[in-house]
Amino acid sequence: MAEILLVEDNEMNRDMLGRRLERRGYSVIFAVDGPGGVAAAKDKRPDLILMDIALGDMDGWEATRLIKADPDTMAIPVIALTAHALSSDRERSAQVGCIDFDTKPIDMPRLLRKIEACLEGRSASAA
Amino acid sequence: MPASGEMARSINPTLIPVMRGSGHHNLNGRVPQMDTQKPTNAFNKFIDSWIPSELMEDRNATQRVRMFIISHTLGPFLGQTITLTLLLLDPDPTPHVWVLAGSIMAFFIFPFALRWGSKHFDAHKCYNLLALLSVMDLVFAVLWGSYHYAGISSPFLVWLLVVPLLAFFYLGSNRMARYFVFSVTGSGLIAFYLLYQFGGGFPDHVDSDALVPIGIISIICAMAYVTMMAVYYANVVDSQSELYAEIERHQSTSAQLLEAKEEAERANGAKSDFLAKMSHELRTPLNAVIGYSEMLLEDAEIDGRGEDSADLKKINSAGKHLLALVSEVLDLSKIEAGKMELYTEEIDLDGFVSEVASTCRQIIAKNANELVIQRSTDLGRLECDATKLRQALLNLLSNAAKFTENGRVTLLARRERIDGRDWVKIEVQDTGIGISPEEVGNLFRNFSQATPSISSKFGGTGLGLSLSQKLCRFMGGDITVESIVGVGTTFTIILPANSRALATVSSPATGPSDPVEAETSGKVTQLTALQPRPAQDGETQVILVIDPDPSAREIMDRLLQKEDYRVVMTEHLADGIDLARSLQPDAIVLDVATSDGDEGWLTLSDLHDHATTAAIPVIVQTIIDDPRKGYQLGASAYLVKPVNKEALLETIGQVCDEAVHAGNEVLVIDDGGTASPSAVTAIREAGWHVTVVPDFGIGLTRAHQVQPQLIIVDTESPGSSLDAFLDGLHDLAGVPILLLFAADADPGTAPIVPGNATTLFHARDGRDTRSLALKMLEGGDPTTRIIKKEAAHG
Repeated sequence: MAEILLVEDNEMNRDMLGRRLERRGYSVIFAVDGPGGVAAAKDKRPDLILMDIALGDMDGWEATRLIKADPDTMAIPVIALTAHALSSDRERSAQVGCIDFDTKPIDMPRLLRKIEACLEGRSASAA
Repeated sequence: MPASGEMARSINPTLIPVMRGSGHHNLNGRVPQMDTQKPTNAFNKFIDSWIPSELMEDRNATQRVRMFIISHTLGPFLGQTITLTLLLLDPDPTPHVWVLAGSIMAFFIFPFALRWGSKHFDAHKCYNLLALLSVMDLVFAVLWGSYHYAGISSPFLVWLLVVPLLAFFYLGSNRMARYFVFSVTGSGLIAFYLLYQFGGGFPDHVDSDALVPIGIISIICAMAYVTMMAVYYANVVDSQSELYAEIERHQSTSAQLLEAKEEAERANGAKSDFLAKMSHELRTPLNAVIGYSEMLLEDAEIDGRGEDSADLKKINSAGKHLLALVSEVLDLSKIEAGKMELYTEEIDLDGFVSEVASTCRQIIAKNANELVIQRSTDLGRLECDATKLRQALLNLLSNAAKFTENGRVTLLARRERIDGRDWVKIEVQDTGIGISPEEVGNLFRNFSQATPSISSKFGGTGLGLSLSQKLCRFMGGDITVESIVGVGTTFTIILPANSRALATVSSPATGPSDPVEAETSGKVTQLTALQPRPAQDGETQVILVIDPDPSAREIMDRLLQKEDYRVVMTEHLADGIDLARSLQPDAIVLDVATSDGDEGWLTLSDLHDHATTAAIPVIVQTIIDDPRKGYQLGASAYLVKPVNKEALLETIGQVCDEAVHAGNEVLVIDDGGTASPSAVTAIREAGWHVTVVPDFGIGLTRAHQVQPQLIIVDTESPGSSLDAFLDGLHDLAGVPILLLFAADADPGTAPIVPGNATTLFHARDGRDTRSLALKMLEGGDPTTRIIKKEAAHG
């Protein structure tokens, strides 16, 4: 089953989303901040990255940019997760190279659809 | 701006030619504002009825022609009083007085000649020719009269001074007019002298003493005439300095307003930051509440713990309710802060109705209600923001379900043609408790429910209806309601079926205050300028003209219609912004010079700042000569009035073309290569939209998002980033790729390329790159997959 890297600084959210993904049979690895996420992407080469945007010093945009700049990790699809739900976020996520964009709180069926779409190699349209 | 109004009154319209003649081009723009008053009396109407319509299009020309007609209808009457006097004084008037009388009578012919000539020939040329002939006639009459009566000491000779004054009134003071006037007057004087020299002196028809009274009158008249013109000129100079002062005042107000605007923008920025933060702070804990309760609920259901699962459901639904509230408050704030954006897509209406019905079936069944769906068979497609429409419709349906028990909720959908336009109507009818007429008035207000008792009994926030209505209005439609207490309520959503073809303006501020009376015909401002789409290859381009000057709008309308643009016009800036958002025109022509100080500039920057209109090119066409400010505030082009037709059409063509090609993307990844810049220029010139990204990662994502027509990779030398990039593109096999390497790159390190890629080791000047790229874009497949320029070596 596919491996998903979840980059999320809020412990509750990390725990919850991780467990819910694991229940669906995904194998989940975690990173708690931007640099950790970039490093984990390079080490573990997951099939997909879920990137929270509101991280600490290095935010999710910057982390995604670094992942997309590294030839080893650039092909890994990144889905940005943000609480803001503003279109500027949507634009920004496209700019840094995210394949998709979802808002928090997580709507599980919707997020799962997006994850499946990415893993099938299709570019899911932003909802 | 009260001063300008006063000026408009104080300046006689006939001054205008002099102003133009004085060469102050920056004042020309004022002219339209000053002479837009309609002719006020019968005389002016009579004069204007003689002016050919072609000459009416240009205001400066109109003023000149007006002067011309006035002179030619009144002047001969004055002139003939002199010939009459001479007939009485001169014992033998034949033939010289008759010749003089004839030359003066000839002036009467000119208005007729102008009317006839402009019907058969070019009106402007015809007018210029007649004006020249008139000047010649005047010179002849003055010199003929002077020659026959007292010669060089004739009291009539002084009228020669009037000739240049009149001539420049008629023709404007261009170089040709000057040459002409001086040569005609000069040759007249030479003829005058030659007649004297070789004709045996001046004739002696009348004793020079007898000429004294008429001479005095003639000189007084000439003086009065010249004085009148001098006073005109003095007035012009005065009003000119007033205009300068006014312009300066205007500029200083404009600077102040710009500052105020920046301040307001900072405040607005702070507000949206706050909104974003609040949204985040509220959603994060909610995320946990909803998520964990959902997880526990799943566990409880698996383990068969019925009681726990009922409690968890309550926690979960309370969390979701709170989330809905947060979202509604956020949406309302977004609409109020002007941050709401539309994501318009084309949906299949039938499918949409089915989907919404299945979503809400459960809620409706809760109060033992039956859901009935009625839809016409011709529903077809609807262009709208589906998320927002779904939100509004679900809100109406859940309201209907809430206030109805053991009844029926009917969902009706149909298309309707109202005043030649297609609309979609979606009705939600219930057989519930109904709403009294008094309560209906408050229905769409924020945080208002029909009565306080309702909220205690039925719950809810009082935001749903208000938000739903605002969302529908935002999409160019509306929500209306009809209700009878005890019988039921019908809410109707009405939306334009095609938001591009059918422009609607629906402004809450101007709409009827009572929603019951809010019939669609009253809510929707129709745009009469919209024509049915002509069947053409290309889509007809829509131009939105925002100009407070009615005659300027009329001219634009005529000009653009002729060029097969669809023209939508408005005089109000606020309507202009609404129209731009709902209509998404291909270009906007905006006059920023308005009576409200800086409103025009603010409109320009609003259009540029707002995401739904930022991509629409705005052509500023105005009298204010400040292109720098225009471009700073986001103008795509800046034209200072008066603007000639060709320049305007060319500019519109240019900005529209750029927009048209936005769909045909060529993606260039510029990874330090040298070949792409010149190729990019050539591809752009060929009409493609080129996006250049600096690295492979961004390029990869962009490629998946836009599916470009061609991907060009320009890199010094192959490397691992390129390999990963090409690998990532394997699912876009249909998109041709052009790989550019420096001619001296080591071919051994070239990546294993996919079948759709062509590799070019390019020459230094990049010329081969350009031609190959263009060939690939035209669909030509290169015969070889690896092209190596031997010539580039060494």
